[in-house]
Amino acid sequence: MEKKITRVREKLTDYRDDYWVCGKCKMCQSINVQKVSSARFSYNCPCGTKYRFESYYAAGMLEIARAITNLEYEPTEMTAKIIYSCNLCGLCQEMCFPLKSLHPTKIIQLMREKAVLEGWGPLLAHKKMIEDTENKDNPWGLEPGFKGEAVSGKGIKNILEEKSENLFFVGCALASTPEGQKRLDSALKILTACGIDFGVLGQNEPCCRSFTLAVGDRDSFEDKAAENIELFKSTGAKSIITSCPHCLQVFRDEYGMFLDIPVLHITEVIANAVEKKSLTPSKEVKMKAAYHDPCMLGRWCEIYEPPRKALSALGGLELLEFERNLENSWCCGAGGGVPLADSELASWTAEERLIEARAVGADVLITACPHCYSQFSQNGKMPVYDVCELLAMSL
Amino acid sequence: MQGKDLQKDLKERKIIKVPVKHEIEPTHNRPEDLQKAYEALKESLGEEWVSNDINITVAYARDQSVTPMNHPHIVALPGSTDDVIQIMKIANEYSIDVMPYGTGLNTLGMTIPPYGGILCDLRRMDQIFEIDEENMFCTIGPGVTFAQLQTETLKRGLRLINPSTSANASVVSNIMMGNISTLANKYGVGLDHIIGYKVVLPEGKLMICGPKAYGADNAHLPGPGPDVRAFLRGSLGTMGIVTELTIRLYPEPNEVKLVVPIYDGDDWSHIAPALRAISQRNIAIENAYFQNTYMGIFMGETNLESSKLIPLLPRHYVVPVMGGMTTEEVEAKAAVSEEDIRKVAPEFDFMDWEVVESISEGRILGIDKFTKFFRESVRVQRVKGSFFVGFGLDHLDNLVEINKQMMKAMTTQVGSDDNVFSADMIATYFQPYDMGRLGFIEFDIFIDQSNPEDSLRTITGTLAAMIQSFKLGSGACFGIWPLIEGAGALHELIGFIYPQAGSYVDTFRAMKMIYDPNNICNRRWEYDTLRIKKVAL
Amino acid sequence: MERKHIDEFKSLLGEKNVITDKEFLKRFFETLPRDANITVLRPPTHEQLGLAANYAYEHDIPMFTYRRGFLNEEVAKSDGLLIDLTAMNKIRRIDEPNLLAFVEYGVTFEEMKKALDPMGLRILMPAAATSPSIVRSYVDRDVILANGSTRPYQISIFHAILADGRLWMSGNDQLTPDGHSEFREDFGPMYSYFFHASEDIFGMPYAGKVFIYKRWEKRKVSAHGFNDFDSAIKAAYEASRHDQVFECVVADRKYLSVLVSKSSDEAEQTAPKLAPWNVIFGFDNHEKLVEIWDRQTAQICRRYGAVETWDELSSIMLEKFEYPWYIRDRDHYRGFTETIEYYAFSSKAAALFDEVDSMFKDYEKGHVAIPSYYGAAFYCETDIYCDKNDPDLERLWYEAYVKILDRGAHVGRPRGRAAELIYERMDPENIRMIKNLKRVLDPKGLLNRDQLIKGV
Ligand SMILES: Cc1cc2nc3c(=O)[nH]c(=O)nc-3n(C[C@H](O)[C@H](O)[C@H](O)COP(=O)(O)OP(=O)(O)OC[C@H]3O[C@@H](n4cnc5c(N)ncnc54)[C@H](O)[C@@H]3O)c2cc1C
Ligand code: SF4
Ligand code: SF4
Repeated sequence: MEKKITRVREKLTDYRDDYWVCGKCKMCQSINVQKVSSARFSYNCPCGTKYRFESYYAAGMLEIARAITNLEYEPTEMTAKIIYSCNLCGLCQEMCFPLKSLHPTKIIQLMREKAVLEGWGPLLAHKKMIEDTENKDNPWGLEPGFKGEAVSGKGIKNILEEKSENLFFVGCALASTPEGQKRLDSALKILTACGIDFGVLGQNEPCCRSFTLAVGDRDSFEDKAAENIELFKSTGAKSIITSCPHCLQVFRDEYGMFLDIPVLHITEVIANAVEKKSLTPSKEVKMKAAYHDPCMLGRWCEIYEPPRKALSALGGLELLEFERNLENSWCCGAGGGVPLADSELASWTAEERLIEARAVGADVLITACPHCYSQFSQNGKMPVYDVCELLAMSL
Repeated sequence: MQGKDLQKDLKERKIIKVPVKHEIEPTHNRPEDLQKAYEALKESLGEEWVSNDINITVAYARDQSVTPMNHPHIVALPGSTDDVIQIMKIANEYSIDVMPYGTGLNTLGMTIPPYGGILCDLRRMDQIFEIDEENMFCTIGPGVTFAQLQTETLKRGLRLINPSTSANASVVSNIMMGNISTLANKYGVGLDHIIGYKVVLPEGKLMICGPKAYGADNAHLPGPGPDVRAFLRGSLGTMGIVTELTIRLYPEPNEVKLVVPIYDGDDWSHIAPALRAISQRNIAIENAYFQNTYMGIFMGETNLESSKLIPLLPRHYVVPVMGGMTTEEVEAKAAVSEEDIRKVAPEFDFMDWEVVESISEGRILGIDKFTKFFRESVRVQRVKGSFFVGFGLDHLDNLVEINKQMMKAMTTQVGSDDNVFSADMIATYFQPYDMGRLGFIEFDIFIDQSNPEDSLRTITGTLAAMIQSFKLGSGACFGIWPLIEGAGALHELIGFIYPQAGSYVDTFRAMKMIYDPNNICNRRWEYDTLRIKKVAL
Repeated sequence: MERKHIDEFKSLLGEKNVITDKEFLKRFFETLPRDANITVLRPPTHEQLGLAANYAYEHDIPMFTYRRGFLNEEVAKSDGLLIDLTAMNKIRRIDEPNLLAFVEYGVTFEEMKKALDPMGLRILMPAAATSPSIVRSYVDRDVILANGSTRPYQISIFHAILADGRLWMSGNDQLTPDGHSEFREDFGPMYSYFFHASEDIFGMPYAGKVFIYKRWEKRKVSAHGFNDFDSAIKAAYEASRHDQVFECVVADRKYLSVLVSKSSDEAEQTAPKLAPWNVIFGFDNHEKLVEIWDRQTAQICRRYGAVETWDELSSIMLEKFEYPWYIRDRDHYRGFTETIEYYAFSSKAAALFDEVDSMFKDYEKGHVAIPSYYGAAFYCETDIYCDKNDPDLERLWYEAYVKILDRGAHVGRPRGRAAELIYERMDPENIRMIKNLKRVLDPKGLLNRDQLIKGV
């Protein structure tokens, strides 16, 4: 298929040196050792920690990459199962790159792309998701139209009809459920309270296709990305604000080369408003909560401080830190298409995080990503809030 | 397995290139037995903890060494001592080899199963059973890593002997084989830290060593009577699998201070006296010598940055870390060390720790983190992917000459084209032992495994260096014999060259045959021929 | 023993080194049985020892090594050889720069001290010595006065002759020329360590490379008094844990008074001058450091309620630390000293002492505790000063061991009936390992039969 965004495509073999240089040192199999504060919460990689075979860790996946590119054996179903057990949480790369200059997470992504090109990936559940995304423009195959409904009648500008300084990109996740829409309302309320001039795409808002990319279908992703870039440009917005870190990450890292509109996460906007005192929460939000750094927001987009800054404006909130926080954050389990193919692994991963939340004394978990949100709230064992939700409550 | 069968087997396993070494006329690891063993293992360990899939075995087939790749047939993840007993029993029943695997970080291919069989990855056994704060010991499973254990012990004011290997290496396998650490001078090596253990012997029997063997408290001292503890240190997985280890912990001083004596000259003769002065006074808790090559590699973010840094850094470093009850005490210790070094090696200067920190841009988080959670050593692999180690043991003043000759031997083999680091990039490390009575020399050469020429050069280079080292009288350590018994006529040869070693190697052979009658535990040589078996492919 | 064997041994070792004389034999046996038929060999070199052992092995002659004290009667009646290694008594080398001394079996602590003193060097002294031989004491893992700050193994490498006369070298001497490396570890599973505290069942260690130490700029000994054991051991534990001291001893009034005296009268006069419990610290290092450590440990002791003790104790102990503390030297007090020795955690030491005391209610007793590994465990010894022929002694001694073993005491080098007790409780695989190595090294079972465990 023809490439729609013309960035030079990377191939797995471009990283040949990486998978040969991996010395199996296993530094990617725990959080940064200088920051480990207990043996219990020193583990990082969810799939490796659950399945324990070396192949489920980045080091093993690199070895698989080496072996299959070296034609030592042909990829099998099991090869796909293994590489699709990864959440693409990026923690292995976060540990490895500063020490070894290697890109393990990138290699896993490229193995998936190779799998799709060669036809041994993705997994069945992922194929359906790609199809749905292509047909209905959302990963869950919901009938189109829900995005328009989610914002209609709320007095929000449609940027295609009415010029706005900023484009607020709602994202499929917030718009897709009644319960997500409540959080969407909080986000809209907060943006308004911050005095931001923004509009939405409403019915015309497309899917960012980050999930399609995550499971390795770069062609499908790029097709849509090219269209989306044009659409964004046509809005004349000076910046794009997303509520979902997954959208944020692809806009920045993938669309970025062809899209010169800055992309911000909503927590950055809020933090800015808090800093400038244009947002001043008045009601107390009494709770003991731990803030979970979403992989895409933290490690991938390096947004650690803004959500904390935003939360710091809340009176009554005792904000706790996870043992594995910031760049060492443990994944919620929702990344990389894992919940579709291995829901057991995904919920185990979330459960593990909730155990950690309890261990640090939290009664409530806060996140800034709708996918983390649903992953944790499905578990049902601890109240979960979105950063925007809490701030909206305090207004 | 030969001819058609072999082809068929390879095809069935979708193997295109050489992953498994097949024996000629195998008595072990026969396909029909492997299948039975696989079923039996699934039955006793649970299906999710056993696999014979090539995608699983591939991750254990190769390590950072130049040892040729070879897949195990089955990977098993035991979760308890009982599981390990079951594995051994099944392996004996069906004549399948067993290879214990801690974290596979040894640098010599020791966990690559020579003939396949069951690879027993012990990382699920990651329980810290007990940490006794007052009486300074802990009991752990073989899957516990240095990072995990150190974190827990430091909370209790205790220090673990952490070598400068990966922080995520297994404590148990490190203590059983290497355990070369900057704390070795004061606190000892390997066996010195072991109080007792539980080991599953090759036939699947459990043996307990140390005070717990007769129900006593873990009161640290060897015994009772003959020091049976020593049986497993240096056996490299040929004599059984340790499933619980009780090790000594050491008091963490209230205060620490690092002195960094440096010397930027070509004359190595000052190094031994300086190192000896510090080691023998025995007031530094940590202590070692290393070359600027390491310093540059640790500090540079990339290879390029490191190669720029190395020539700018002073060439020689001695790094004593002082510990004490009070600031006054550590300051005094630092002053005494300086005075001692100035007396025997006035050429040395003293560098500020702050300088080290500023060069590393705060990445090394204070002395505490630097010494206890040393993260940087794995960077030596960054240079080219892996490194090959030359080593030796001798009195400190002999090490300098050994180093010189080893370097010479190595560089003539390695050359120094653009692809290969120059002689300066071969890194030397001296680790004093036994309070300055002797030292360990490690000699790293960086190697690109994907480049056969580089590998070959490195192997010949290291061998040439090792020969120099032995010729100069240096010793061996961490049990090399279990790996080379049966290689050619070595057994006889060793009795001929070193008659005093003859009774030892005979004993090794006899004990191995008694304890592993079916020769399944890390099989390296055959009992009937007393030789390493030939392999096809 | 057959004449021809004796003649052969004489030709191998020299006439005077093969002794059958009953009078001479008496020094090895408390009561020499009438039908004693043992022959004493005193090999002057290890080559001769090897030849003699080989001959004995070929001719199925049992061999016993003389280790300490008196041997039992069975040995006297074994029609075998009693090998006394003390004739090998050369100091082969003192390696000052590398702080090692290569000594033969017969070299004593006292001789070594004489040789080392002028060089400003020292050797570490055992606290419950039963033999003046350094090799013996160190191979047996006798407790060392400076165990808290050094290590229990003070011998780096030993050389031994196996039952069949073959040579066994431990550690790196297996592969390196003499004077190189001298590291303790074998180059595979470390079977050499089995020889320690084994009653020589595997081989006869005849020489060893032992650790020697520098005498630093400043030597000092300080003594602190305590009213109770609990405070004393806590102070010793803390000082050791903070790595403040070289030697450290916790002892009661009785033990010390007997230790420092030459007669019972002197001991009786000394005792009242001493505090009920005493903690004695030895320091040896740079002046600056000794001053700091002395001050800091005194503070620790004060914190635990230290009281006055005999003002001469420090200077007397300074001298005492220079020599081995032989158990038999304490016999002056009541004719005989029986000991109960074991290792225990500091917090359990008091209860274990009490346990032993409750067995020996009506006896005079002394107590001493010495830290090892920075106070992680303490060597504990109760001395029972008594009449050797006391009819209850053996039974009480045995029962005391049963009691302390029940409470978790660790006996590092059990001998005689204590060994039997321990091996009864021992993991059977562990014993099988000892037996198997014995079978490999001495298949005929001729060397030191039944000396460690019956049947081995
Ligand atoms: C960058 C780097 C730096 C290093 N620096 C050092 C250093 O400073 N000091 C040092 O000592 N080492 C160092 N090493 C070597 C290496 O880290 C150690 O040898 C390693 O810790 C051994 O542990 P492992 O778990 O990796 O053992 P493995 O490689 O898994 O096993 C080693 C051997 O022991 C056997 N084995 C493993 N577990 C058991 C068990 N439970 N019971 C019985 N047998 C078992 C295996 O079969 C094998 O033969 C370094 C290595 C690297 C890569
Ligand atoms: S991916 Fe990086 S950190 Fe992980 S084992 Fe390989 S080299 Fe080490
Ligand atoms: S990206 Fe995360 S889940 Fe995937 S291998 Fe790396 S650490 Fe594991």
